[in-house]
Amino acid sequence: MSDLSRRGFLRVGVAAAGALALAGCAGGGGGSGGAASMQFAWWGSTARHNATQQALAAFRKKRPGVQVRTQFSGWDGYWEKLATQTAGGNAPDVIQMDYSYIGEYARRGSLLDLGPYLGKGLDLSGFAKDVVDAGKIDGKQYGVNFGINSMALIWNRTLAKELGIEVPETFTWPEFGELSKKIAEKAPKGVYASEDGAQDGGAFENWLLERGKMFFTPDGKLAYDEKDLTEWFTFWDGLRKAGAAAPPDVQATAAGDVQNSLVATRKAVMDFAWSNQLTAYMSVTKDDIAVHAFPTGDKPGQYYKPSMLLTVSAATKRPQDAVALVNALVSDTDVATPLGSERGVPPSSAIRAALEPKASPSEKLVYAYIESLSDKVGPLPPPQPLGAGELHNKVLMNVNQQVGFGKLSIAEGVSRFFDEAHRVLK
Amino acid sequence: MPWFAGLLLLTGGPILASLFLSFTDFDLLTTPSWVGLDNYARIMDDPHFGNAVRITMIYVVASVPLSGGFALLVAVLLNRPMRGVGVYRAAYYLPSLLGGSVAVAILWRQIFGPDGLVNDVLSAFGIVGPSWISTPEYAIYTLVALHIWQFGSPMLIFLAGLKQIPAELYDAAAVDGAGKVRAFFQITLPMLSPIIFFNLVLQTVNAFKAFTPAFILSGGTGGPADSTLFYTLYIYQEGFGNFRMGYASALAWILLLVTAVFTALAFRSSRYWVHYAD
Repeated sequence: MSDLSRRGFLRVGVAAAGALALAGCAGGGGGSGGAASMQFAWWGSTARHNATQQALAAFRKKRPGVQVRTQFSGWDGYWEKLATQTAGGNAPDVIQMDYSYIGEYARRGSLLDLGPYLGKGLDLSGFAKDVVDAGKIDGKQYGVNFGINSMALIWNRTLAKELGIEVPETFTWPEFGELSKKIAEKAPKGVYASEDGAQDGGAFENWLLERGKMFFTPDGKLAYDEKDLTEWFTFWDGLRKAGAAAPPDVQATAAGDVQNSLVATRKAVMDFAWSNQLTAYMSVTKDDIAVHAFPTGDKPGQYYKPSMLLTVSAATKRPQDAVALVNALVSDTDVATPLGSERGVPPSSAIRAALEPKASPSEKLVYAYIESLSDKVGPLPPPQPLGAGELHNKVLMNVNQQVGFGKLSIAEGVSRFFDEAHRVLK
Repeated sequence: MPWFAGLLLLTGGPILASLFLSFTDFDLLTTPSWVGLDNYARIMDDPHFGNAVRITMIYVVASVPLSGGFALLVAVLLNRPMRGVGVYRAAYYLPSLLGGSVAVAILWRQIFGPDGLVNDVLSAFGIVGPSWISTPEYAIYTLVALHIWQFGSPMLIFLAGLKQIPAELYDAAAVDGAGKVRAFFQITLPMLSPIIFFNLVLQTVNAFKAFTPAFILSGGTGGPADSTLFYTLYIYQEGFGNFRMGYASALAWILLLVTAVFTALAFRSSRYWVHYAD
């Protein structure tokens, strides 16, 4: 796969262009899709778009009467568009949903309760119980787990080798700091040990969990305080000042998709990411990319998370067909096979058994990584309150930038963060 | 009057709806509920509001006079008789056709990126340039530069204005011994003042409304560290990204009022410096 032929490259390009054209049609099509037409929306990279189009082709063969229109984009812009469509009564019938947003939509009545369809069109018998429960909000089955993943330190093995660095099997957060400083001593100008993890919600949550704290209590209140955040910012401030973590202007160039990430652009050895993103990382660089567990602590910091969920709009006019598509994507081998493990390890044991023998090298790494965590993970934290996605995605990043650029001191940044939390959370 | 029906339904309707929504708590997904002036009170203690106002004012104050002055300069140069002047006019107008587009904003991101064209040129002189778009001090000025680059529309309007100035005035001035510079300040500028006024108002309103360049350049975040968080971008984030459409509507009405005040000030001041030749 390293030397993709020109023809193969062209073919991918044409497929992507065709897919984009399709998306364009879907976007403007409105009600032109005929009697049995429904819409499926997802976010992702080009690799995911191509795989999903293949899966949908297999689905169309099985249910020739149902026409599925598609709408896909990167993560940026997906949520604004979804909110607008939902408000306008044009929500896609089947919606790929993130764990940090499912609460927002389910609790505002925008999602269909799939409970009544269990065993009647929706077969989740191959799922472990906690994997099924990960799709429940307030006891109702609003989502179906679409892939299992966990936090993962993505590292550029080629770059590490060039710098003459060994990455140990496990390390704690303080040891991670020491390792990063050691890498910084060997790295040339403009190359850093790690991206700035201070702004990464996953890294911060992991660090909290290992100290016996978490983001939110089950009733939706913040479960950590100013002292925790001060310590977190101070840790990363030290790494930035030592040249071990990327400075803010470099970090700002990593916004958006994996292709801009510092590991892919060779500006850092380590990125804080999710295990299923390994496939995307490998597709954008020729370097040898590997997964490593996050730094460890006294308590388990990692957990198995639904990398994404499938949900059905409460406003759908064809609930039967929508549920059939959801069901096929997670439990029909023919439909699920093209998806591989790019969205995370398939939640159904039957699909896993069918896919594992044919897995690509990157997929095998992901399977092995998820397997290796089995005795190290804690329970899935409770679904988050309204505004949680905004707080730990956008506010954390923004405040960290203000601190990094020296616009706010650490103390000011911490108090700004909690002010914003007060404004944002409901 | 079909156009009037269109105006009423497609513009008037949403305007009234947003006025209503600005007095409600509306999360896009559930029914709005009346909260009176809460949204307007919330603006008072919102740290992003002050920052967005500051960024937008920098943009307006820097880009309107610079792009206007530049447009006038080019218009004066292109007003002289020379070979192939039509080609030059078309060429200088081209950026305006492309300017507001997504493609150009993406191009801008490449030019001002850490390994972009600007830094390539600087490195030829031994200067290591910063990443212009990801450093808060400079990011806003890359957007100002983008605005100045789109001087085509005001330039065309200036050109049309220059053509209207009677040639006798310059002839008379030349006979009286006035030089080129004197003629520019004593004849061209006063005769052009209605056009300058028109461009000033139009460009100011446009600058207040600017959205696309900041959205594309910062990937929708207004970053780094809120340094490109235009007021319109903040409205968009609050309304469509953070489920606070009621609050976003209140912000939008503040923008409308501020723009109206600036336009009124421009009109009020115009009687002191705009000369109508009638």
